[in-house]
Amino acid sequence: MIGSILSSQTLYALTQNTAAQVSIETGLKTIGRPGFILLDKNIDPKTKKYSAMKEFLYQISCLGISLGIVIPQFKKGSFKIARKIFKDEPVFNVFKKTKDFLKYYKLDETQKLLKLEEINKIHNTNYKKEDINEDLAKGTIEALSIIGSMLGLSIFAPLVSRPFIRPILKLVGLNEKKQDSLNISA
Amino acid sequence: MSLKESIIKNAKKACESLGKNNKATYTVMAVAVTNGIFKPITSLTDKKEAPETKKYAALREFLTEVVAVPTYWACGELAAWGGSKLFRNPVKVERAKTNLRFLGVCTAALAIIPAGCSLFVKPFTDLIFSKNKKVEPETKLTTTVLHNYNFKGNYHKYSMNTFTNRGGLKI
Repeated sequence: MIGSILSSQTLYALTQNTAAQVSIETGLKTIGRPGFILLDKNIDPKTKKYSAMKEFLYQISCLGISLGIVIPQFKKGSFKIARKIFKDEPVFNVFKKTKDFLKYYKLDETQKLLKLEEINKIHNTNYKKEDINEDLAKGTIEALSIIGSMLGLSIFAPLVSRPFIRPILKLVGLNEKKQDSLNISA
Repeated sequence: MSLKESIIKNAKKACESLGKNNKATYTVMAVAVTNGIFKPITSLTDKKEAPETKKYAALREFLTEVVAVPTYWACGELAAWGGSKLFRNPVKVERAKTNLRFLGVCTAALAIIPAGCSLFVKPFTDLIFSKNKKVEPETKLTTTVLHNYNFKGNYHKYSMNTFTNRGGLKI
């Protein structure tokens, strides 16, 4: 049972997706970091609550911003960028959009051949399966998703979330002024 | 080969390798490195926070990522190494290595890094900031006591308030 989960194809496909990696990792951070702050016995109880809530809200906003805005935009634009960099690669000419390639990527071998035939008929081309560099296309999508996650989680999320976190904390009843000096030790 | 061509060639190699196997450690380590650079900068530029709080937060964020980067790598690779020993079928070995690497990264994010931060980062930053803080009250005390004036504006060595604030039995 455990062996079949560990070598599962579904889990493997999930681990290969940058958006899934980022969302699961940030989701776990959302639980783990505030949890460990609350477990720390050396912190004042009021400070604990404030810091844990602040960390929780920060991680939630990071997740929302990067998954909702940044990664999808980078994913969408990845084929446009790749077409400019790798001009001679047929894969970026056959598939105009990232979405179209990802649909093709998920097909099995026979379905891929049929899809390619269909594309050749429509565009009057003669591409073979060997011409389609799937690894390059998939890698480009993932590389740009990684760049998107880096920008989203490290630059955009802290800037965007900062104005929202303080009012929410006040609304919950965690006063910033009371905790400000204590926040240092949290 | 020009510089541009060599950059494109290397980018193609990197993308192909990422397309073959997008290791979870690549993403989390890349994010941790950028977090370590940009999160302290954004903390330091926060105009609403007190200067000491800003410095403290920036140092803690930086140290958290310093702990996170090697932990992610170590947990991921250790789990992958363990996974390779569990199976004999090469296809299953490859899948198990990737899956366990991801699970290792998840364990690091959920428990090992926050625990490491509670154990090492917090005491270390507290130590640095408590050293700086100890100096301040002594200097403030001497200045407030010595430069105290009574209601007529004459210099007085001792504060009038200190008399009333004394503890003990009051008649």
